[in-house]
Amino acid sequence: MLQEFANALSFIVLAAVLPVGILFVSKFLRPSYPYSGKLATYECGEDPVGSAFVMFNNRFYLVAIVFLVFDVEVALLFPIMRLFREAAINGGALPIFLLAFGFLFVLLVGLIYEWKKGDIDWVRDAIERKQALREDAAFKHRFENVKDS
Amino acid sequence: MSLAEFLSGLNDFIPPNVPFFVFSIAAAVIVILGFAMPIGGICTYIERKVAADFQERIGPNRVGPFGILQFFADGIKMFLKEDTATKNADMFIYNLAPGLVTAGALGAFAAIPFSKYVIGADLDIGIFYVMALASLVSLGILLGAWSSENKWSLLGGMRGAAQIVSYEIPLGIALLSVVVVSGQMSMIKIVDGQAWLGSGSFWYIFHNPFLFLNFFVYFVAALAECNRTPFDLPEAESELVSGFNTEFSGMRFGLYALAEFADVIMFACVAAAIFLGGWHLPFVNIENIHLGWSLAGKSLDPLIQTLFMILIFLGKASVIVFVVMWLRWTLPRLRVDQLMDLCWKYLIPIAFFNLVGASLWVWIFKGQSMIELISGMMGAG
Repeated sequence: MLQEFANALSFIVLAAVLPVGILFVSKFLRPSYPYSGKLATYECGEDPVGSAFVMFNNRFYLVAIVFLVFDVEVALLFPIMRLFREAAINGGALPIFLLAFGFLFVLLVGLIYEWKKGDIDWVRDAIERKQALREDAAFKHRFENVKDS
Repeated sequence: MSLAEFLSGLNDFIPPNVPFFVFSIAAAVIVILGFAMPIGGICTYIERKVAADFQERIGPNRVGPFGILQFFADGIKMFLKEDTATKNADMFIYNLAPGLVTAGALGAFAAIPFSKYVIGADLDIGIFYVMALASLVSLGILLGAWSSENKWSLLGGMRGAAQIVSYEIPLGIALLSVVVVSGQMSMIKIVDGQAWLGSGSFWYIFHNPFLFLNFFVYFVAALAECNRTPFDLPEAESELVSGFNTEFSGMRFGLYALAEFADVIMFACVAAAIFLGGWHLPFVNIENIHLGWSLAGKSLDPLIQTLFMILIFLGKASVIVFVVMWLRWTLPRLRVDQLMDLCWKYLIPIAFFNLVGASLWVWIFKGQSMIELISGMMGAG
């Protein structure tokens, strides 16, 4: 088995050395005439405005956190579920099943909680705006009723 | 048996006392330089030809017969192009990122079982290995986008990271459901569990209805992992110029392009191996076919079987690659919120449901497949 890991290692090493080698060799062959216009950040031909590190939606951060939990869970389930078939055929599958899916159930409850809270809706603003509109319409409806009476 | 052991077994042609690592490096060179990179290049040509056919154009036809050397010309051009970086780019990460993407996409080929004897490394945790190296790609995209100091790149890279990271979960669960059914994590053993043995053991996609559904979950998630249309938001050329690789030029860009196709081929190969039976055909078991040909007193049967296995395996993989190209000219791009909804609200619950279903199926029917059950019932009746 160690031999197989050595094989895998040689693949990784080759795959890592290859791009370095390609870039290194092409360094001697390609031209290099840099000037400031060429090195400027590309912003559709205009002069770049400000830093490129603009603010972006912090929803990305939330996705990363939710992903982390799920990924750890998937990585943990692989070795557990690897034993499931043998256990199912020879008996004794219940503990494995409970262990894996009890764990999974807790995570699913978490996902449903996130879902209900609206954390996995990408555009939460839109939802809030929709709700505000609905309240607005209700208010207007009441207001008009008041005016009529 | 891995490719390196196979090479070291050819003792008629090789001087004695060659250390083993030479063979393992030779195997890596054969698979990566001899298969993954040329096929990745040829795929860019095929994609252009397929695109041209869909749009009733001619496509590349100048370099070589039918333009088939186009990828070679493109490669040379990229190799000789000036390679500029933005003034404020974080040069260390900027150089590292295309390498990471390439290393992830090409390194994963170690665990692709081309035939029973041709696999880079017959790891016991083959599926795990593929998943681990494939997730390097998201790292490379995010780092490349962040370090190039460009707003388009940053937005594209953030989208790419969120997308790849999200779709890794349904992908992992879909693979997990195969592990539940096969009870194996080694690629060779998973493929061998799908051999036609006469009893009705068959490809895992037809093992039970849950795996059938999970194949499609896997396919959609793999599309998103490779940033292919309809999930090409990180590049989104009509919104973000060129997304995460806007500031990459020359060979660094070439590496991104190469890695993208290597990734597609890798995921297609994994799908062919674990869902579509790898080198196995229905109704025949190739290992039982003996032509009886021999050369210099040695039977040629293993060699011929291996060749057939590789052809069948690559045939299945190339059908999937064609479907991926086909989808590109069929479906429009998703919006970011639709993308996230599709992953978190549809694919993950469906994949979880199928995982539970597949495990209950294995438990209740003692690991028998649908076809085995039906043939058993017909035998009893």
